[in-house]
Amino acid sequence: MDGNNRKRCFGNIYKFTRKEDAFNAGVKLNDIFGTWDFTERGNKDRSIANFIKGDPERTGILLREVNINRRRISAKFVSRLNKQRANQGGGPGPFQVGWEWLTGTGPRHRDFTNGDYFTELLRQHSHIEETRNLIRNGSRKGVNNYKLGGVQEVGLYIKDYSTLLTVGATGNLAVTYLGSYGLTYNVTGISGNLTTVLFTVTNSSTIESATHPPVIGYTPGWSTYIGQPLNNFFSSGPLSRTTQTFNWTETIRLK
Amino acid sequence: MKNIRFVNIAIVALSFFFHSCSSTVPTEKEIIGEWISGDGAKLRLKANGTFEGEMLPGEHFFGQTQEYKGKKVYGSGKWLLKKGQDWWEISMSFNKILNQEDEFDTQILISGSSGLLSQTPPWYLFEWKDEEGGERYIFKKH
Repeated sequence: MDGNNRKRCFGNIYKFTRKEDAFNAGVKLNDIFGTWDFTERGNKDRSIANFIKGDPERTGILLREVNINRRRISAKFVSRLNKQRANQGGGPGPFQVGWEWLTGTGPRHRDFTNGDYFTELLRQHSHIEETRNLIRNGSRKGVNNYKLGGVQEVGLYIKDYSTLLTVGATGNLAVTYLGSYGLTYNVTGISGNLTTVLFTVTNSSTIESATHPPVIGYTPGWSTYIGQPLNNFFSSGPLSRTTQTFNWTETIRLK
Repeated sequence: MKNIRFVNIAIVALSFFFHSCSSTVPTEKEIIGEWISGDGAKLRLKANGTFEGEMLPGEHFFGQTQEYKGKKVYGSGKWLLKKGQDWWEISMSFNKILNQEDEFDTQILISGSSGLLSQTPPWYLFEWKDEEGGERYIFKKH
């Protein structure tokens, strides 16, 4: 840890301002630091306000000195650290996009593609995998929207929103923000048993979509008397409609 | 003890509530026929499992992509009544689309017109106009 690093100690937590140094220290000293997490941009603590403001995977790695017996952490730990780091894409994530919607700042429409952090999160969602299975089973072009509105989707609802309680340990953070979304897929090329697929996900963020509860919130009455009047009230500025489009391609091995 | 009894009663009541919400099931007989939207689009669902569609709004049936946005689509294919993620829906596999070479798989949802959660007939067919839970693009039986 060289002199350029500002090391802060919060009990057993060491915080670094430079990701590279933190990462290297984490690898070198993995016999000391038992667990780790990313830190958010420039923030000194993980208060709720700072957590909402920025995507936590941006600037550093927070190392927790929990391994007091100096037991060497397995190669699996280092591998996981490397993998997570490699998967870090660019562009804003769900928290930033959510903050923009909440405050009325930033662009009203955003496009995401392969490699973007938000896209890479979304690609891990179970519904995307279900769509891949449709393609493996022979579908070449279609719509497979992700729906949350019915009685049986209460479980999905809880799972998607559990990310907020478990700070990402369960659910999918991208879908926590998106909620239901529109999905189209299009096979653009087949070579042997490999197929190239273009996925397009569309989503709009409105006060209606943010506030409707499961089941009854998806009925025509709710939309007419609560959802749409709310949308009209927040037609500009904070809480007004923003849209997101995700376009990415991937290769899928057919059965 | 009273609290436990109250919880039990609440659970049973909720079970009945949710059961009653999902117990009405659309049948093929109710679905077969001609369905018309407010702007003149038509969907003919035939007893032999095939369908024909006229003037179908591209952005509602085929996703919010530039390829279909604003286009009226004519096509035919096979349909199947099935339980989707939660809604009852008609799975539609287009094998012919006018001026298109592609086949296309999509769905149209089924909703009741009455009941607390719109789960009881008479049925109508719909696509979400934009996001789920918002406005609906509706087909009523002719």
